[in-house]
Amino acid sequence: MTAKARFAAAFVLAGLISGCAGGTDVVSSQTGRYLTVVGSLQNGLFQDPPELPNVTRALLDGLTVPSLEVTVPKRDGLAYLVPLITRQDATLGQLDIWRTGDGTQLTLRSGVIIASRGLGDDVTSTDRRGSIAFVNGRAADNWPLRLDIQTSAEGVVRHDFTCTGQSMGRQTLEIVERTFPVELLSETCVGDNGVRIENQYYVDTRDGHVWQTNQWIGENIGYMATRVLKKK
Amino acid sequence: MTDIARHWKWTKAVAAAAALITAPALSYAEDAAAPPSPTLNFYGVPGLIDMPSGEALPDGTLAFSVSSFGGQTRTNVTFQFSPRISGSFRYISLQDWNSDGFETYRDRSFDARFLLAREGRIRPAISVGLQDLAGTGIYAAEYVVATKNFDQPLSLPGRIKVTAGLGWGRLGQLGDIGAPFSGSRPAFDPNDNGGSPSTDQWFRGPAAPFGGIEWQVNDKFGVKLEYSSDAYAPETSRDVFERSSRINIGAEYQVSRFLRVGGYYLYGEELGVSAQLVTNPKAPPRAFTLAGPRPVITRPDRAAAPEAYSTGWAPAKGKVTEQLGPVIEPLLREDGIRLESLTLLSTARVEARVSSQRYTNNAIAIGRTARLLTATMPATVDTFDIILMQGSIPVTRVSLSRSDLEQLEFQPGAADLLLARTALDSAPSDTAPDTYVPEGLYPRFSWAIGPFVRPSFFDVEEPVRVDAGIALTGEFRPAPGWLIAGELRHRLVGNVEDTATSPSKLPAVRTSAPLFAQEGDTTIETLYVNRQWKAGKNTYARLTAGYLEQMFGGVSGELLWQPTDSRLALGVEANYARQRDFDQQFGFQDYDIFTGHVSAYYDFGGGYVGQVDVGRYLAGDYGATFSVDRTFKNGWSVGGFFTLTDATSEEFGEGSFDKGIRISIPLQWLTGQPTTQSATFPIRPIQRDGGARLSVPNRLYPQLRDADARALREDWGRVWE
Repeated sequence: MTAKARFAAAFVLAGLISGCAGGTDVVSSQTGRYLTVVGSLQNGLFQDPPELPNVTRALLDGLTVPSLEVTVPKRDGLAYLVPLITRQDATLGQLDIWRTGDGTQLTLRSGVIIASRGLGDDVTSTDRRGSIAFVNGRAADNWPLRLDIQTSAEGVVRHDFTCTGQSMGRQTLEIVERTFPVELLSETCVGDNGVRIENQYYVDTRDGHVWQTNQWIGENIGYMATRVLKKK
Repeated sequence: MTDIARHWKWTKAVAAAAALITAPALSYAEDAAAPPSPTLNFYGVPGLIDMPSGEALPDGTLAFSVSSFGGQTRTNVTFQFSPRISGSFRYISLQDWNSDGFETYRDRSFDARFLLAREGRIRPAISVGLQDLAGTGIYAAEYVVATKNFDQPLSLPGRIKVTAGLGWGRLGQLGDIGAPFSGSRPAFDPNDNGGSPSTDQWFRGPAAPFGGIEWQVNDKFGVKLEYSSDAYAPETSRDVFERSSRINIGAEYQVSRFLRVGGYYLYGEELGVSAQLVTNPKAPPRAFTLAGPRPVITRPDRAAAPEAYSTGWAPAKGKVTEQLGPVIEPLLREDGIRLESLTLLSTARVEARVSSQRYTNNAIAIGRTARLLTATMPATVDTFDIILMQGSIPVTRVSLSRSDLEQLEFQPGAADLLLARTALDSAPSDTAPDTYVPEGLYPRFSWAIGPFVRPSFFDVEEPVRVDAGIALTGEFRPAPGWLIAGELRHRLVGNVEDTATSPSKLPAVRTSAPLFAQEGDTTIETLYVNRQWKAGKNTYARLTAGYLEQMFGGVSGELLWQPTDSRLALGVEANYARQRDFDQQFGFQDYDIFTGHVSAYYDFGGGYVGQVDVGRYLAGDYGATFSVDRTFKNGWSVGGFFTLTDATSEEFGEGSFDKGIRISIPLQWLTGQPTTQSATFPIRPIQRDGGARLSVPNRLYPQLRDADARALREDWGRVWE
């Protein structure tokens, strides 16, 4: 076999091993399954991660839409979100749904995380009426907090907590070269199984706007930090 | 406009941003009170080195392990089937056996364990175990064993666990205390067919104590010390290895979340090694992520915008459907959902028939379809009938109130609230007039080309043999319910053909596998026509004809009674099968048979499904197959099966009767990306001719179960995803 023929044979063999498919449906054979895994690996390994913007005050001032920064330390995660929709809920009042460019969504009310979609291990629904009242300055002595988390193997797993809150005092919060007078509110919650979590809210002392938070939203995601870069 | 919302990727770049968050350090103790997962012994069950311990693995754990010392290698698979019950399968090879007709002795064995008591503040965990319960008995043993954990005892770092037990059989050979339950046990016979539960010898004969200590110094490093009660009589009497001590020691290192390795010094003479690969369906390597859904679009208030609720379009209902269908279809396709038809049943009700090859959990397809309907349907349409189709068969109708969708998404307990107000029932077969059917729905054609592997396990000479090559698969769907499919294979490498053929007293319906491997390089793996349809309100039917599997072709018919919300389903299948030529092209051999089964499927809840198939098998033997599978909500499934027929154990040969385990791993568990595909691995200790069932593509129950109302209810929370 000549060198050219060997090269051609190797090329054909490599093509066959990498495989390919076409048509309207996912083929149900072993080959179809193989191609699914290969495709997923290729997407995961060879896709360039998107470049993240260097967030500056000038950049933020040039934005025509509000912006929310979200970080998830447990996943080494960072994202920037814009409003998707604002809607009135019959019992919860105004809800703000934020989204990323690839469709992940976060639903907030008064800065309190109500639901997430597209993160994996998402917050399906919550009872955070007490937390919302606390942030809005109408706290009871203690209040319930319920998180329904969609897990991979066990469906919706419910976490019930009893919470208390306290003010940690007034301070100045800086967000990308701009400062805000805020009150730091700390919400401490103890779960039915003894687990203890602490959520923080940085609330503007002038108009009650929640600029920054750190909230626990499930075992797998852990704490999620939100920061309003540009207000509505 | 500068849109900085284009990116949502988890990255190390978070460090800088996180530094801006001035929140104090927060802690969440995950399962702080629970001890870490037990480590495994050389038999692949929770234990010390060669001795078992009293703990159970976490529920659902699947553990693969390999251990080797003194010329003997054990490959083990253990599954924690429920919080208290586990089962193990083992393949062993003992070099330098040099007797009984074997140079190297190879065997397979099964274990079962039951956790009698969970560990308490004072009480240890206690387990009872049956080792090699149905094999030829080389490892046959029974034990009762207790283990207690101590956190940082005597100011030492880490955790120490102390184990003490009493063993019978192999574990009762050294230092016995007599025979508590009297009786004797038959001697180990290397040439026995084995395979049947050895109930006559369980807990009989002398019993001996064993025990040991495991010190898990930190998260990574652990040491073990044990006092063995195993004399290794069959091995030492054949000079497989020497034994001069009852003390074994070892050190183990946790390489990663999944992998643990160890090195040991055993019985005063031998070095040993082990590798433990422990996984759990509940803990995927990659989190399952799915781009967020479209938002639910709420309708304007009726009082504020009465014109939106006009029903003036009612006379042109068909025309409106024709206009809306082409809008909805591509948007659903983006979401991985196929719109099969759309019908405005009235000004208040719409029916959308959908199917999906993307979502294992069909609640996702239901939710996303409903969300899109909120954005596209006239305001008067308040009820969405979404009909789940599976292989063109309408299975379940999900009737959702649009008002509920608008009001409930962000309410506490939203999933339960929506489910309580949603009707799930059997889907009607026929569509109403004025139905929109997307263009290009039929005919459809798909193909794939790529590599294949065909493994063959537990040959008497090699534990694993593999053929590999290139496969071309095609699937043509000319009309609803019709499928013409086939697969062409060309083997490039492999050694399955080297498998020794073993004589059989039954027609060689499966033991002829090596002949199929020897004579076929380019083969037609399958080529068949399949037609399936809904025959009644709760009845489904299938007809399949062609080359159904590698070894047989023929005609297969099936009827399945499966009410959408019922735990019980019943089926009957009748087949005429004829053995294919060994070259696996178009020809047939002389052997043919009418075969078939009556099947009952029962969903016990909690993911446990039992199945009984009674009928005639390929070799003409009559009997029944019993199986139980545990299926997790993410699609993982692990189960076991056995078949008892009128073929005697002598006719069956080695193993006495057909049995095995099967593992099905959803690909989305591995990749984190949604897909309905899964990889299934049936593992038999040995494949003989008795209890062999025809392999028919597209059997109905596995196809339809994921679309029935019970499956939807089980993981309904994903309706909001």
